[in-house]
Amino acid sequence: MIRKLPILCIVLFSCLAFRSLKSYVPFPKPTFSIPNPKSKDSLKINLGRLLFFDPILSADSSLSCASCHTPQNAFAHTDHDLSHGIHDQIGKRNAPALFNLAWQRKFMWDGAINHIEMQALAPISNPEEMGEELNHVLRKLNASLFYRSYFFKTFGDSIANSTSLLRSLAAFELSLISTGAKYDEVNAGKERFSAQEQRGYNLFRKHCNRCHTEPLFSSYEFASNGLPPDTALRDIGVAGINHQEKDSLQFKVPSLRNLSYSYPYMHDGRFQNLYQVLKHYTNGVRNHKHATLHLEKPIPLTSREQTDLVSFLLTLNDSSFTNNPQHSFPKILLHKSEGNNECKRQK
Amino acid sequence: MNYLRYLLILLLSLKSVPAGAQQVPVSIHVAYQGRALELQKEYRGGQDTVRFEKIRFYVSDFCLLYQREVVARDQSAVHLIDLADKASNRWNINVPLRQQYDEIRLLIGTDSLSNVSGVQAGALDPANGMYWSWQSGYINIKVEGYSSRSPTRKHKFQYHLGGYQGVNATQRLWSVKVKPDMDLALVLELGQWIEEIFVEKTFEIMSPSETSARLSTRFAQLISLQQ
Repeated sequence: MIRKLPILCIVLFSCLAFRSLKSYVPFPKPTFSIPNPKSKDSLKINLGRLLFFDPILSADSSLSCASCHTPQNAFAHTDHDLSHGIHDQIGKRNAPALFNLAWQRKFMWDGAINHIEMQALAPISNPEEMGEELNHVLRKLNASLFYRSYFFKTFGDSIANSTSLLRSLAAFELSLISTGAKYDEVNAGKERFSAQEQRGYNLFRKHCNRCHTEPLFSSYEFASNGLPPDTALRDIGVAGINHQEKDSLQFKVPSLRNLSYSYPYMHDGRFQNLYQVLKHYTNGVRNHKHATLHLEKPIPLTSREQTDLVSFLLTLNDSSFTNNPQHSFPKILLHKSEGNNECKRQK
Repeated sequence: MNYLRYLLILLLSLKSVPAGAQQVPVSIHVAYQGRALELQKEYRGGQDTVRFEKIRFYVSDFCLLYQREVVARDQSAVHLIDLADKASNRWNINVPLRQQYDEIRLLIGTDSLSNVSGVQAGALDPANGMYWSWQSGYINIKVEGYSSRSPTRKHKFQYHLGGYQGVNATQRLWSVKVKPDMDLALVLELGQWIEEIFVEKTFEIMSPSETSARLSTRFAQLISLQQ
């Protein structure tokens, strides 16, 4: 037995070492083509970025997409449980963070939109958000020399139409890729988790991965996590779209990336921090008839395990995404003149 | 020299027709009790007075068949028939010379693929006001107006019949046998359609439902060849 001890030690050490190694998890094939910023796509991305940050899309020119989707917050509406639109109207949902949209098949918390090119129509025309009509947006854009020159540079036609407007916005949104977190470095074999982060990762894989599937940290499917409905909002999620009772209270599984920047959490922003979220999963799901089967029983996590899990979740923050100057407010908008088609008479 | 200019304009305005083909005109008309329906005109039906403000619907995949085989297909896949646009209800279909056909087939509405393919131009442009921005999908049939039976403010009714999937899908396949040399003029009897709706209770449809599916079926059933 003593002669076999060194071999046993080597085997034991190898097993322990193997447990801390992480096998590479590849990204799946995206649903939508990701525009290449180094090709001609850059023109569309750039135009889309201008439109995204320009309040011209709203009825009273007070709100842009970025009013609720701010780049420093992973394009979420931080510190607002429910987002608000023009005339200070408060909506009934929390604006979700925008990144890795190319891998999603349906958009909005209830999956109402089936194509990224059509998503922008929803907030533009919603009276509680931007309150505008598509035709009026196009008239405003076509009355602007600034935009006519950009549309001409991008599409060879200075007249904006539905296709050029919506595809530009979609190009910018699809360019919002977040894959620069510490987790991604570990996934690529370039970094290692700390011991606490590794414990948290192990807990994540045991309890959370089924819905928040790595490496996107969401399956982007729809499920109910047993949240009791808000009796004032009466939001029934997917069932509000397809009128199927079995889909009641189902919402899109959000990604767990960039959580530090995108609080509060859930479709109605009811949780201000991650510990409140964990409290829901450890104590809050009460045999809800609509809850996904994976949550039939509470997830047992000690205080220490919760800390470990949060420690791992923090490795999903991607500051290179939130600080990316290509995603920030385009300063040229500050110099945009409101020129129109009429020639100004020389004095 | 003016006649040369006019001749040039005429030649340039002719639509291209492949060699060995002929253009067969197609039209769809909307009627109220057998007469061409006019927007904003008051009609007294059996139960009420009605006035139509908007009538728009999609027609797609128009084709001609002979012995159940497609022999000619409309090159423009989708048409948006809009009573406010007098040119929208007629087009031509290229048919090979001497080709026989005995059936018309078309889709009232848009096909499923159109509803999931992102932004499109032409008849499917979302700027036409026939696309639901809050829930992806086209409004296949839009009928709006005023009925003395409607309990709403100003007695308005609005029927936006859309939805492309599941049991409440509203696109409808329609076909009819035709004889040789028959005009391909179709007529939709909208008067009967509105008379059959219990407007007192069903004055507004804005999302897919069993009712919108039922009304779409009836809409297609009331199309016939113009006699």
